[in-house]
Amino acid sequence: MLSLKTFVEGWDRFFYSTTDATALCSFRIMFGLFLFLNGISLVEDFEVWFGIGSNALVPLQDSFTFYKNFRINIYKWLSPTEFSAWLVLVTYIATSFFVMIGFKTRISTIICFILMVSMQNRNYSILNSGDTLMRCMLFLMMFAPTQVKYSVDAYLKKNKDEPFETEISILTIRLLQLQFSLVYLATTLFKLKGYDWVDGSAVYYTSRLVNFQRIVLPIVFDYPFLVKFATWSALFIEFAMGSLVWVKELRLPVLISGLLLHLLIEISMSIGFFEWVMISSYILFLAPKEIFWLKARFKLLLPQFGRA
Amino acid sequence: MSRAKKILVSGFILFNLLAMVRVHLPLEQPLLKSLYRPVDSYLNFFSLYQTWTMFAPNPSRANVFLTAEVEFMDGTKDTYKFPKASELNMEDKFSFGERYRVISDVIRKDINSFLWADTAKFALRKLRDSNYHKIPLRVHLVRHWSEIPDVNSKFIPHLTKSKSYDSYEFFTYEVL
Repeated sequence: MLSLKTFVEGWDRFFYSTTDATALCSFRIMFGLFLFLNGISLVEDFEVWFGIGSNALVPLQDSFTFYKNFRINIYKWLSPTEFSAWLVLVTYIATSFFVMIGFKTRISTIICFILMVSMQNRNYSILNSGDTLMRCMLFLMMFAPTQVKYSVDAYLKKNKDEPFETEISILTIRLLQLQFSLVYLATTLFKLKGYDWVDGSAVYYTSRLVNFQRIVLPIVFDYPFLVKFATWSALFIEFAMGSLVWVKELRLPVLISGLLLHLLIEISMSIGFFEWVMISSYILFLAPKEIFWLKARFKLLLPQFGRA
Repeated sequence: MSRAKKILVSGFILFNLLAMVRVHLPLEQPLLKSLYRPVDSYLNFFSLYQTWTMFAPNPSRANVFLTAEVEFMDGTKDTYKFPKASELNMEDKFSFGERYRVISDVIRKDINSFLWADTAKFALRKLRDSNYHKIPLRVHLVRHWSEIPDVNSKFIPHLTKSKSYDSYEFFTYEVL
């Protein structure tokens, strides 16, 4: 039987131990990159989705009526001009870039979150799972000491002979990891409620949805037994990513299977930034030495690209 | 960390964990709803609601797209086709294709009927330049769909284009 004391000790060890900041700060760079790319992707049709002028699909006043709960929405306080709307996007892109390079990291993360949420609340009808994931992750990032390594902030501090402490509390990393696991566990449970995932035919239907299709993968999707294998593998890997990834001995094989799953989905289907944000979140489960190993392999690859 | 600070931080952790799973709990009883009210307000304010139901519980079994047909006073008609992600190149898919995929999927559902009038007006504006001398009377929103055959009755090869689409006019906006 678990005693209260053991539970408190376990809770303390899980949430209040310290760890090296390498994983968190590496995650910040990758996550910041996708925040930035997300901002760039909005430029082309920005006036349609988030604009204030006559080009907007949902007029500003209507959006206030549709989404009327008390929520962060900077559009409510801005003058209703097209310039204001563009200012929101340009500032979002700038702050996401600052998050990526770690410049004024904390305040940039907070502003980036407020602007992202405001844009999403401006037009909630165009959001996909990638938007939801970025919003939830960015919220937790506001509390995380993501600036202590691989950042302009850290460089400036080091130049002043006041370097950051790189041994940080594991608390926010745990919350980000739990958020990550929740995505997988929730989707697994929802899928188990249906029959297509259980009988192995779900991937047949998803691969026939033309608006998601990206690249032809005939072998994988053209044989019933492979479709079944793909469906059940995806379901099992998602379950494992939400649960078995926490088992020390299984962590790496589970992460590698998850990575392969997301890469396969990304190659064959177009689902916004969801796959890439999930992949970048894998870093949070890696030990510093594993990240250094990856970094070294990546460095080895670079000159080869140069020679080619 | 001091004991008081630790209690506060632990409270914050618990509250956030509760908030994370809130959407996934089918708790509709009045008592539980009132217990969850502070969490719901928090979720709304920070927009932290999250559902992970893509392709769940079952993936969609139909390919869908939308059009808006405008009737003019002189008896002519014009059609605005909402961009289909499937017909866009990689760059356009990246920049706006995914958004049109989502909004087409949202607008076609009856639960989102509050967006229909704005969508009709949007289509009207899109066709304004090519019909500037005409007076529009009404806009019809039409959903088109092609069902994916059941896997057990007919296994269609990957990337087979649907040849026939069914159509249904689900909304009419009276301009005048």
